[in-house]
Amino acid sequence: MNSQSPFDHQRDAELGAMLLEVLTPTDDAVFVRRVLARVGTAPTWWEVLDGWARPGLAAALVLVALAGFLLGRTLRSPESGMALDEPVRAVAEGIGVASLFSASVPPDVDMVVLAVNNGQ
Amino acid sequence: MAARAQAGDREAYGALVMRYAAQARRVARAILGNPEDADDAAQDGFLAALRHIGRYDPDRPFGPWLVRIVANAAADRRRRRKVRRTEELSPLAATAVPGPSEVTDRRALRAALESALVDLPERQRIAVVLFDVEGYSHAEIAGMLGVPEGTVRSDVFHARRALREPLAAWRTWKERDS
Repeated sequence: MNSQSPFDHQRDAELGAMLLEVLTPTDDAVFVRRVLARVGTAPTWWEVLDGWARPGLAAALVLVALAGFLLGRTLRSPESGMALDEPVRAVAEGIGVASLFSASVPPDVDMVVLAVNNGQ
Repeated sequence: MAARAQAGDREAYGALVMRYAAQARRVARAILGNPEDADDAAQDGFLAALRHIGRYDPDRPFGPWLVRIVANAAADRRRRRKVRRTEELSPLAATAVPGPSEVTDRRALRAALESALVDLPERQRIAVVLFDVEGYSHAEIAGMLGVPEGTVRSDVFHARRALREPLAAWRTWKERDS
């Protein structure tokens, strides 16, 4: 019980009982009521997460919309390297068939195929 | 119970508060000395545990996890308020100067023990309370305090040696008196 060794694994029952008497408060019920009253109003971790869910979702939607707008504007801009008529224009410049685009009547399909083939 | 509380069951958490209230208050009191400050710290600990219960591992015992939070809350409160040593003494301990006639009184022994407890370094105080009062093992206490197990053993050893003095004096007097 009163072992003087630091390697003692046993509890000192007498000392423990005295310390218990010294440290144990008498009004546990009052304290518990007080804490429970606070627990009833305190937000928990899932409520905190829930509170962040709506603003988080709204922020994500705004970001997606902004990203879509920027992407669309980039694709539509004349500086974009992805202009849809560029391949045709490149072919036309290669074989001198600008007349295909400037002609008042639609060109023959064979002429267009021939022009593309020659462009390669 | 702790797993239910983790799932959002407030009643389950309330049951945990009831079950661990006394232990949390004792640990906080061992750190702070002053009973009112200790209760505030214990309450802070319970509310902090509720806020962070998502981090609790339900496969492990709830007590050590809670005690660690309460001990941190008490230590924080102690640092924040910069409680002076003289303020830590309860009125009983502060007025108790065990004289020859008073030693017979068990209240005087309690006061002497309380005074000796207050005189201990904080870690020794926590270690001896967690070991001899709350019944935690050296390894569990080491985990709670974030120190090596050997340090806990040493702290408990030194704390016991200091606390046994008033106990031995009281026992000697009783034997002489009877």
